[in-house]
Order: sequence, then structure tokens, then C-alpha cells
Amino acid sequence: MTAVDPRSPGPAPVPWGGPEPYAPIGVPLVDLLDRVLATGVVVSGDLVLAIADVPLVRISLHALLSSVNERVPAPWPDSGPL
Amino acid sequence: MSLHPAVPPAAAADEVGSPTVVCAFAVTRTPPPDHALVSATGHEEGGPLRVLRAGNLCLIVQDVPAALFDSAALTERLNRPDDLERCARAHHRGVEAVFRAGPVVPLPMASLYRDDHSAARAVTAREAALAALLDRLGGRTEWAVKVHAVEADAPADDSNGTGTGTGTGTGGRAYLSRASARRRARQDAHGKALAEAEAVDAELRRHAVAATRHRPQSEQLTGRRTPQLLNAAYLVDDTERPAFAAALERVGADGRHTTVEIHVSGPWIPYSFARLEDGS
Repeated sequence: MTAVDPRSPGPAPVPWGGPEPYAPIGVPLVDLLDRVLATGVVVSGDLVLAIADVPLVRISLHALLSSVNERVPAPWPDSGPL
Repeated sequence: MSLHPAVPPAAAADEVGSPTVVCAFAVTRTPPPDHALVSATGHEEGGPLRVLRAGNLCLIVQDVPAALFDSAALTERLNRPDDLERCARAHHRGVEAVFRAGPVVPLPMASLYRDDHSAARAVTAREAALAALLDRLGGRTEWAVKVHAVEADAPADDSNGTGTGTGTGTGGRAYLSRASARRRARQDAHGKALAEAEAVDAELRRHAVAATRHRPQSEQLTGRRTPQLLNAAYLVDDTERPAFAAALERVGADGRHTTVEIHVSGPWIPYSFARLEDGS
């Protein structure tokens, strides 16, 4: 049902009908970060609750970009400015 | 009703030897059994996961070293890709351990409190809203759907040196004509792909309780040459899952949407729908 692009980096999409992993063993990090960084109910505490703040997310995405650059070579020949 | 506020935070810290703070993973009504918590690992630097009562709800928490989790240290660590990944996966493991026992409201990664008392108080202050959210998320999972434009055939691009546009000559005017024709073709293709992505979204929404969109991931992140057109999440009731899967089959069928590729993952813990109505 899904077109799997063999060139796409990271693990293959999680298969259907597996034993409810909830999930994703080897889930793509970018998808996980979409969720754990940008979502969740902020139940304010009295100490630190920084991750949901925009600046930190920006930092994290920067880190993630670096990570992708290091680990996953661009799939095209002249990789351009990353 | 809260059991732990009676514990003096200073005493708790002394027992461990070095100062700790409380990292909360998720809120639930159905705490997992002890053995499930013992076998789950949260942040590697911290203690075991444990249950903290907060009114009629429970928080799953972990004591973590304050030195590693204060604002400056955390920011620095999350700037390091490996640590960011470890932190995200640790958070996911903690939430997942809870989810296996029943509905959860995941908290954002690294929700930190000075002690059990303030963590429990933060939850009890929002108990009604959190309880309503638990009801909403119960028996439902999230499905992630990403839609990308298909990559244009390179040969077609190469061959239109003379094939498209109104000019076939070698003059400047002919060149400009061909260039603008190529630009129009690209814009048309992009518009068509966007429309197909919207159609996919519309069809999937019909079988979802709710849908939301994340910011499309950049081409640097996806490693693709073509843009991500849709980065959506669907909250699907367990009873609707077969219908949702059938809808995915339909939109992904050969020839149905020729200008896009569809990637699906799930079921996910419904992270993307853990939001209170008041936007907090």
C-alpha cells in the first residue's frame, strides 16, 4: 500500500499487522522527534520545562540536521549546501 | 489523596547521594505493574521508573541527576545529536512502558520537576482536563502519513532542450521561451502533487477521529530531492482501524495518485493528539 523508496534513509516503514509495537522499533528518528519535541501536554512545573519552547526545538533540529548530515550521505552526487 | 507530597524532597535527594530532579513521562489512570516498570529503562543516567499518585491519576516518573538535567546541561546535551537521540528514545521507552497498560497522556520530553510534590501538584491542578484527554485518547492510536512528490524522470528533463516551449531555435528568445516553459511545467507538477496530497489527506480524515499536521520535514531530513508535501498524523479509533487501513490501500493503489509517494508508520502512541483544549 505504500510506495517504499529504497533510496530513502533510515529504517523501512513499520509493517502493518505486527504485534502492536507502539511502536516503531527502529522508528525513524525524525518522526520520533516530530512527536516528542512538538507535542505532549505541558504540565508546568516549577523547575525546568524547556523542551517545548521554540528556541530549544530549534536547537534540537539543528542538532538533528547535523546528525543526518554525518550519518546519511546525500543520495545525489553533488550534495549541495546542507 | 496524593501519597507522595508527604515525602520531604531534601530527604529523597540525600538518600541518593547527589541531587536529583523528577522527570515525568506520562499521565495515566492505569499504572503498569511493578515488573513492567522495572524492566523498562528510562533515561540511562537515572533510577528506575516509578508510579507517583496525583489525585485520581498517576504520573510515571524517574529520578534523574540534577546536574545532567538542569537547563544549561540539558541544552548542551541536546545540541549533541547522539544525546538528543538517546534522550528522545529514552522518553519514548518510558511512555511506551505506560501505554502497554492503558491509555496515556504523554508529556513533552524532559518534563522536569524539583520533587514529587511539585510534579503531583502540577497534575492535580489539571486533573479534570487530563482525565478528559485520557478518555479521548483511550482505545485510539496514531498513524503517521507522509506524502512526497515523486521525482521527475531525469531523461524527460534532459530531452526538453528542444522539446518544449514555443521556440526551437538557438537565439536568446528561444532560450527564454524554453526556460519559462520548463518553469511552468515544474509549477504545474508541484501544484498537481499538492492537490493529490490534499486529496489523500481528505480521504484519510474520513476514517480518523482527528487529524493534525506537523511541519513538513526538510529535504535535508528526508534525504529526498523532492519536497515533502504532507506530514500528517491521524488519530484512529481501534474499531476504525480496518477502514483506515483500507483507505490507505486505496490512496496508495497504483495509478490512483501518480505524482506522490505515500509513506505510513504506526500504530503510534497518540503523541500528536496529547493537547489540552486550552492550548497548553
